[in-house]
Amino acid sequence: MIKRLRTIIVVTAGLLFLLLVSEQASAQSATIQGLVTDRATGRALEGASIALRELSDVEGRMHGMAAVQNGYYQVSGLEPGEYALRISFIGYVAHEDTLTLESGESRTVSIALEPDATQLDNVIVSPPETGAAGLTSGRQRLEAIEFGRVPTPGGTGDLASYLQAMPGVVSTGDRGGHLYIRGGTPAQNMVLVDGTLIFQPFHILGFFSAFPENLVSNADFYAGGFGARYNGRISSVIDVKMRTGDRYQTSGSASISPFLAEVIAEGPISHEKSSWIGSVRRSLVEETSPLFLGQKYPLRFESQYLKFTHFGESDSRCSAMAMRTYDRGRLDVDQDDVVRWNNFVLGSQCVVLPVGTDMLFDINAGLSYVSNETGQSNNPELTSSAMRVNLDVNLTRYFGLMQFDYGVFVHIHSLKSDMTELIGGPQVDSEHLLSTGAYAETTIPMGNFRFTPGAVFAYHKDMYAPNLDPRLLASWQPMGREQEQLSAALGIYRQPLAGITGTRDAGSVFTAWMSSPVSGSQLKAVHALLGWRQSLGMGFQLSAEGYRKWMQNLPVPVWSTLVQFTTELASADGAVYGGDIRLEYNRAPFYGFIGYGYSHTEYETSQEHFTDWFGSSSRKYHPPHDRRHQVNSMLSADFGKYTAGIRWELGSGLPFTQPMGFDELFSFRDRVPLVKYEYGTPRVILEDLYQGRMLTYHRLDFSLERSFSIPLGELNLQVGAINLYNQKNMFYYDVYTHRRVDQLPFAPYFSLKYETN
Amino acid sequence: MANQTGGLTVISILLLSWLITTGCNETFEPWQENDQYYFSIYGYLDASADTQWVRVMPVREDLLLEPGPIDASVTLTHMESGNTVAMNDSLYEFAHNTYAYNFWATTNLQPGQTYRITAERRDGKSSHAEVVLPPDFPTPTVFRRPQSPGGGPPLDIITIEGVERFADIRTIHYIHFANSGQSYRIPFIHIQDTLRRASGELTIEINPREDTGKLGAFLGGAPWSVFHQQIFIASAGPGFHYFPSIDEKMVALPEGISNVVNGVGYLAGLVSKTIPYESCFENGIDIPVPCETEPYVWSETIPLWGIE
Repeated sequence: MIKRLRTIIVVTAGLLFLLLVSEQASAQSATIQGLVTDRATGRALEGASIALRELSDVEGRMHGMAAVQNGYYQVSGLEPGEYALRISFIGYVAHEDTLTLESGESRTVSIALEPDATQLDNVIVSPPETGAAGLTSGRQRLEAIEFGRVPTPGGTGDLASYLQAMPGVVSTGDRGGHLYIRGGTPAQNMVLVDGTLIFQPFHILGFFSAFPENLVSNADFYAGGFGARYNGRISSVIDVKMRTGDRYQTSGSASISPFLAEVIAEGPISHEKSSWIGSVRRSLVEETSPLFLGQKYPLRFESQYLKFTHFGESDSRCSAMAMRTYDRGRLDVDQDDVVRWNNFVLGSQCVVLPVGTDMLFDINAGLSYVSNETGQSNNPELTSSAMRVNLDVNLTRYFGLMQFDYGVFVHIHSLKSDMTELIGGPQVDSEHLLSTGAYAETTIPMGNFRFTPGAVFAYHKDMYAPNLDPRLLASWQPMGREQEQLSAALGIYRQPLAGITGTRDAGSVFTAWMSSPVSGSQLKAVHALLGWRQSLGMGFQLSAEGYRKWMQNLPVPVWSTLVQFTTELASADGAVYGGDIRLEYNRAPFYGFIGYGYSHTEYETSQEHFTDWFGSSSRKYHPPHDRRHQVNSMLSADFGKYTAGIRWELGSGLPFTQPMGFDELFSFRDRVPLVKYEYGTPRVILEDLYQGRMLTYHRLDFSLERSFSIPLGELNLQVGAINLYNQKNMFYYDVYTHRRVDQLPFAPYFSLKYETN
Repeated sequence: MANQTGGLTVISILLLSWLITTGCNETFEPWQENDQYYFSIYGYLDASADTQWVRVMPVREDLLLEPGPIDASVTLTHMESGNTVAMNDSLYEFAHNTYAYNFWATTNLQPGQTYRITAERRDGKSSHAEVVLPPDFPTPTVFRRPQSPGGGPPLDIITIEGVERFADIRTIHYIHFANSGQSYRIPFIHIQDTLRRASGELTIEINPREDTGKLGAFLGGAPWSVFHQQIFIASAGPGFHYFPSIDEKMVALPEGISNVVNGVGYLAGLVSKTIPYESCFENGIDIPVPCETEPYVWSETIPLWGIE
């Protein structure tokens, strides 16, 4: 403990020293910094190119960089003199200006770029490192415009459908809203909406989430290997940035399909200075399914969203956001059990470049609440709720070409659960967890190499020992250009909360949040990634990435053969390895990709009674989300006013435990059984854990849409179908009741969407 | 040209993959082949009972048994003599439309002897369980003391000799409801109240007020009265497990705690005594003596209500 604290102190002191040195060193030279945004929406243009040419230098020496998170750039160490500044981004009109910088001056030049109508008409705007093959150290930048390329039966694209088209992302079916990413479970994924956590954002109907195409600006999807800024989850991060409303004109859209109705509106509050955007969505599948699916699917979800944004000096901005989601349904339409969950999120975020400083402040404060329940419709057997209050302060600054990111955080969790029916062991009805800490990371360019070492320190009051987790990202561009790149990531990750799912079936979505329930230690993972990205020319891009994860202290159910037996929890360690390979084609009028993912997930758990079952107390098994092979593909084409999209995916069968038979068990614990008067306890006789595999899953979706210009707006008509060839895909197999539940059959749909000009 | 080539390439890959997979439709077979467990056998053989009842069920592929003929012939064999008795099947219906087969035979079993239950399917596959019955033991004595030593609450002491392993000790309360006129029998388990003395004898100490309190809580506000009370004591034969020390998850395993060969379940061998829950005394002497034993089920016409 003392040794660990000493290490923490030394590392923290080192980081502070580096920051102080950078302050001294930057005192004599000039600095230019600012934010690059979209003029209408204020969207941060990460990746925008900033070029400064020294006009006093006969050779015209160039300084430049690409804007980072929040569209922030900073070029420091500049000699005093005259410079030509050019800021550009694909799809926007470049900004050009001439500047004269004084010694020691720190100039702020924030630019709001105008979209270039001529470029937008001719190319698909794809900033660098986006697209299906734009994978760097597990990170993928998702632009909202790409969501619409994946056929989705709601009239607009959705993050949920798009993510499920990515190799390495396993969905157990088209219901439940659970995504397993590279061997991690849904409770190990961190989903952020404008910096505030949302616990269960994926809707019960798996095509949809709280993130439709029209509300999202972009998202950073880290399938692993994420940096020190993100802490508290061990599998993945989906950092979603929501759009800001248009600050110049009011507009809106409305759409309806058999699955979903949606209204979105936005506009200025104060011209150029502040804006709002709001939406209301509600599923319709419960009402329409008897007509177009042949039977009623009792699945319902809805969401409401509202965001205000105020723009200040230098395009600094503050926003406040509220989001609510509600999901309710029966995953097995023939059973009475209903699952429900609600999310409520309040968030505020300020991205500020204070006058006289040369650092960017990104401050986020938020509250996120989720409640869960499952059981009979009016009598839930299991209930759980979690609330998280957060304050995160993130700062970005430069020292020469080195980028420093550091910050502090305070996270308070309040957790409640009543799992009397589920967990027989010790349980906590209510608990509170205070976590606080700091992180720092720096990006160091060295020739064709780029290293980003970092670390996060976290202190959890009265719960766990403090932890200091190092992380490292690295990339190498052997030819000195972006067309080919080798990238790698290595890091330690911890998670103070565990999400306990209801049963051992993949079909169960009830999740109770509690502190690590078995080992008294945080969930822990080590990630190692190595990937290659290659531009092949003619619109083709290829990426391949291999990964390995080691996980510890995972809560898993204690295995029993009793049907609805109260279940205790045990601790498991996990090991995941695999790889993704993706080939993307992006040249108008076509966009397409095909990806293959291989993943091998294995858990090992020790449970005392295994000795009598298997001869050893330890057992290795493949958990129910271990999809070994996965092929994802899609193709979209734009022909004038028509857009066609097709998506096909295939996944090898998920593990399940094969039963040998059923009987009724009698206990002799404290009396002999009276067989004439007692039925006994139903029991499934099992041979071994997860030895069976469900059927291979594959599905073809299709959509065709056409736009019509009409007075005051545009009408978009879409027709399509989910599961075009009506494959009977399994959702899950309930070993305790010997029931197979299938996913949606062939589901044709049409949608209408109206957008104001 | 390049555009068309790229698009056609992706289309070709998709089409090929689709043809491959749609041409290979699999069938889902959830079951693991079961050539290990044919029958589930539960219950006990009791040398003190004139009729033996055991649960025999097929290890089946459905959670619930469909009522209908059972493919099982069940026999009870006295291993020392080789005498075999065929047991009769009887389909029982329980709550929520659940069904189960109990097999019975009217025969006298001898303490200390070995017996085997065999269940056999028409195809010859069979399961069996063998138990050794314990020796007989003297009828226990009951001493209902109005006060425990030192002036405490009333204390009933049951003294048992000649028993090595206990399988069951329960008090049975026969209740009559004044309003409805209905009667029930309600058992309470007392195996946890057992003490073994240094002399080897077992005593069970019961505070009767606790039983009465539990009855009151169980029966609610309607007026009721106790019109008879019994004590049931079962001694188990060699090989009987001490279940309170065994993890329930292990008990639930097919072969965790089982004495059924080629099957699952557990069969116990017992000698039991059912005695009135009252003190009996010899004339003029204030020392309790064993009462006369009674049939275990005092009256089949009085339904069982609740098992604790």
